[in-house]
Amino acid sequence: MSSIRARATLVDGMAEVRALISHPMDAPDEETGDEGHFIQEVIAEINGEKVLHAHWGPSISPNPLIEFETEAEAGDTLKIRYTDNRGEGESHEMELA
Amino acid sequence: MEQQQVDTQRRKLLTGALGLGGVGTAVGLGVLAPSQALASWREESIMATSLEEGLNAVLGATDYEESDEIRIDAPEVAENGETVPITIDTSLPDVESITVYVPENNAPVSAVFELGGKTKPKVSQRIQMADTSDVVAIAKSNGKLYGTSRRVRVTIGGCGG
Repeated sequence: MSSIRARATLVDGMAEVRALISHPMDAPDEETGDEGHFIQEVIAEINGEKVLHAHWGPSISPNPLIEFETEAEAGDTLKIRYTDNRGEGESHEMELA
Repeated sequence: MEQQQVDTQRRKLLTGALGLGGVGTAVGLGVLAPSQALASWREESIMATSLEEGLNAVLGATDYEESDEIRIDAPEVAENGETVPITIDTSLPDVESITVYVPENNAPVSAVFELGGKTKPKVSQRIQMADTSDVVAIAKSNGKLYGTSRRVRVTIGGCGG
């Protein structure tokens, strides 16, 4: 199952997007040398065009939520993807309706 | 049990690959799609422990003009600093980026959002706050920096990065 859950509502030519990512967002610990495990980047695209690029650090809460609004219409493809500091990531694609 | 062992091995493999210098290696292993690896995280800003350094790295400046056209929606009192919901909204034109920082956190630059031209300058997320602090939002509009701040009192601190 994808760790990204997204919902988009189309209102007057805008998509209100709300995405939830299941992720621990563990902060690094300098004392123990633990590098932590946290998402660094979240990128959203509509039909392949980048509409949002978020740069995150470990001070974003676990299981992060991100909300934004961008121009879009029914039939457009919304893609949300993230990468974390271990180089792992996931991508979620949906058609707007 | 078996699954756990596999996971541990995979983790080791990954750590090894990255240790060898290798986002390239990670791509080879099929861990990342190439397009994902190409994105550039603003590490200097996000991991900076000094506010000045962090802001300089992302915005090229630490000064901004106070603006009442930026709104920060946040609770006045956050009982749990682990999860503080924040919304930044601005009526400024041509906003390229929104930067959120929490001066009292160990890593004060919390997030940087780069916005495409079709995206409304309004973003929401949940952040961790180590202690009572101002939350500051800076919008880059027409190449200039505008900002505003809002105090959030934290009853039980989150680790705050």
